Amino acid sequence: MSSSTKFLTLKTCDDKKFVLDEAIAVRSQTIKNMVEDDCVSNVIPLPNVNSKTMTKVIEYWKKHSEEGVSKDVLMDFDKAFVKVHHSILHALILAANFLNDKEILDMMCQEVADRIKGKTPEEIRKEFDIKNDFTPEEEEEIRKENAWAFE
Amino acid sequence: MMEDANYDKLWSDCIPSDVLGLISSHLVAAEYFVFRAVCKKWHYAPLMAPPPPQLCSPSPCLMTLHKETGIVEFFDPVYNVVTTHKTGIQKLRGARIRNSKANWLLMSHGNRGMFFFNPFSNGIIELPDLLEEHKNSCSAWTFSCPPDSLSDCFVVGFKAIGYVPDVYIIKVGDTEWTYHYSLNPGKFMATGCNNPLFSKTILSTYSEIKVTWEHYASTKTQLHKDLGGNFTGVIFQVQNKD
Repeated sequence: MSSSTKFLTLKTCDDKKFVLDEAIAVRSQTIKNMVEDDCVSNVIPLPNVNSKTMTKVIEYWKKHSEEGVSKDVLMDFDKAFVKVHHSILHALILAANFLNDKEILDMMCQEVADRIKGKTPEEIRKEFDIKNDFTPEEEEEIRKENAWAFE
Repeated sequence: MMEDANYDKLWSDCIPSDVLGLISSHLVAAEYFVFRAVCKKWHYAPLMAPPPPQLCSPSPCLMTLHKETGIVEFFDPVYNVVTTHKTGIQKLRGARIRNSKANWLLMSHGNRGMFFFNPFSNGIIELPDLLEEHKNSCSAWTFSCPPDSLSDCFVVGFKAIGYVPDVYIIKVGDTEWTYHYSLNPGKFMATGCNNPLFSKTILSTYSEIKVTWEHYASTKTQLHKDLGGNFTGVIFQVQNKD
């Protein structure tokens, strides 16, 4: 590592600190903007991200910043990365949204879409623990509007 | 356990609309409407509707019929997605797709059964059974226009066994197939008979004496030479013998 390597300290909402190479941290557009605008003091607070989620994000950043990693290895890594409980998926999406990391955000949204595909509304609710807040009449109306989609 | 209790709000209340938009942008056709029917938040979020469903999509989709289950899959090469369509139609099990035009598929079932199926409306138009003695040995099938269109729809099957192909013809709505064959093959040698096309339909009504179709069949006749060796088809005219 050259002496010019700069480190940033990120602080999650549960007060955990992560010290990270700036070159890696700027994968987050939000952090990059802060660095470029010189608004970085010692610690960058991430009020919307908890440490558990940040650990996952950093794991992703590091893997994708490693040199000499083959495409296949990265693909396998990504595949395993998204195979998590929907609550973690949700946390990662919100974190990626806040950190403005389009790569992670898009990958996660694709995974959510993949879990939606081919299912009925009821199966989707079960998959994501979503409550059906429609009245039976409303639901009937929605189905009728695009009946072909529910066949 | 405490966490469990909160799960049911994650994807409905605690998700920004723009993220829902990102998720739904990966969905097409029916998937999108199913997505919108999950809960109120997903229903009322201001989202961009996906491109119109395949019904009016400008790009063709590759359709796969799973013989064992009768499940139909559409692969959309533009969006790189596969959408599944459970028809629940018993008849599709074991059926074979023979040709397609507009939203209609011409399908065969068993030795003698032929029918039209529309995977978008689930509509089925039955055709009379083929003659028992011939069974369905036609290698190529075609039809002139969608069977529910205003003009007459003719269904034609070709059976090529080396000479002039035998031809099965019916007008949708008629009760019997007519079978045409040539006893005088001449010099015509067909090496195969695939992908017939209706290039022109010269007919007014089916009851008229002369009913003429033209079709293409793979062959290696002198046409091959005449057209600079680039042409592997021949125009073949079928005439009613009445």
